[in-house]
Amino acid sequence: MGILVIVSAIVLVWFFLTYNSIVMRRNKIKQAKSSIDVYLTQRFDLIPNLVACVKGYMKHEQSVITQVTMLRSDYQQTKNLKSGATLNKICNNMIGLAENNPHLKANDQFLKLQKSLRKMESQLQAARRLYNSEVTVYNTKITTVPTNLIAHLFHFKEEELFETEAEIKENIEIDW
Amino acid sequence: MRSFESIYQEVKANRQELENVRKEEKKRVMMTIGEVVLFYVVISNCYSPSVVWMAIKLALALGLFIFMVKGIMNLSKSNVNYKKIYKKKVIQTFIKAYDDNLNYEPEKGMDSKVYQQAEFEGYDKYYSEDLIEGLLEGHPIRMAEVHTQHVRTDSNGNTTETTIFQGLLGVTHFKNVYHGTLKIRLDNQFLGMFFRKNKQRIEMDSGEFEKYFEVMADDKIQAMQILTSDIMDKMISFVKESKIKYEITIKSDCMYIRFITGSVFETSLWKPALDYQTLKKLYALIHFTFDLTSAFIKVMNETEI
Repeated sequence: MGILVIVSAIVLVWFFLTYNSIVMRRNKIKQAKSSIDVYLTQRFDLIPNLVACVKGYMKHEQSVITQVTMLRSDYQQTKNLKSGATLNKICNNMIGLAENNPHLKANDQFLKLQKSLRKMESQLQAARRLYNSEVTVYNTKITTVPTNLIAHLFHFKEEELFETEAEIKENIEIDW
Repeated sequence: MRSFESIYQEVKANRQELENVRKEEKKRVMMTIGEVVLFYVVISNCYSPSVVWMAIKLALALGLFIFMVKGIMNLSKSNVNYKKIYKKKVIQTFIKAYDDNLNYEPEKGMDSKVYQQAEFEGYDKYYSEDLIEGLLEGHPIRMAEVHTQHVRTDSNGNTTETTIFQGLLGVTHFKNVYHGTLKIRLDNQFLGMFFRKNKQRIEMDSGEFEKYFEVMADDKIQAMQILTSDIMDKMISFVKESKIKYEITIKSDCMYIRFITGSVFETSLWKPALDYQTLKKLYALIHFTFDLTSAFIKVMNETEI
């Protein structure tokens, strides 16, 4: 009887500890996800400045501005990281193309903007890597024995890894 | 940077001179040992029924004793003298050949305050020598051998000294400032499983990197910005190829790297004057420190940290 009580107590303690550790891991993912959102929002807040800065050198700026505005409002509403990533890629393309423009290279405002955007891009990449790393640990935890039993019991689901920019297949083009 | 082989060939040119000094000093040591043995033999057979014989033997023993004491007194001098010549002829030439802007001062060391700033474990006794100083892409860089010890005195008053760390410490001053502290420590494979509750610990996105190191930082994003996959690959390659363990701290405008190697600047009379493996190890340590520091400088500039 005594042994049964001890074994039950051990199982109960393990149960609570495991459950809490899974929840803790899931919260870390949420935290990492919100970091990505913060950096994306910060970056997208600079889009109007970027467009204003480069539009004089764009042949068909209206279509790009429309595309960017649409994606930005879509991201603000849905907070969908995928549409955020697409918009981010457009930003990177715009910067990349603008960098080749000799007039913009000498523009102080553009240079300052470019510096800020680069810094944010680096922070964003770091946030994505952190998120992916948290997701990997969490997914491993909920799919391996014996923690998968508790994960299954409480419907913990596997989280999706964030695709890197190179893996986003959408074809984004900007006309200049 | 020059290749190891070309530097080794340059240093090798001084070998004969150093080898002659080594043989000379070694001969002196051997002679002292001979004197000790002879003295022991004479003194243990000193007793003789004839007073004359006994007086001759005692006089011989006294003569041997004087030579022996003189020899023993010169022993440590011989060793120190040889090591000084070795450091000047081999290490100094080697370091200058690696990078002309580097200065090597065997008697100077790294200040203990610098070591403490890196937040490695505590110690009771600190010793440092063999300072290398110079510039890397305009950033001041210093390396030195460091030895830290625990000193314990038991209830009987006996003192024991235990080495905590002995190896090479490298310090670089960046132009950019890292806001916070980033620590890359060796991963305690087994114990780590039980003590991974550190809130500052970051799970890196490289399983291979996680096998060797654990990362602690107060700003996770900043740490991820600095530890790019290229830098992690560099770190893994070095530890895999060289089997040399090392730890890093990045704090404020400084990067500290320490290699757990034991002594890399010392030599002995009983070793060949030029040890290929020892010099290759020294080359690998300096080269890796420069390469990694350069990569960190590049990342810090790119990310505007």
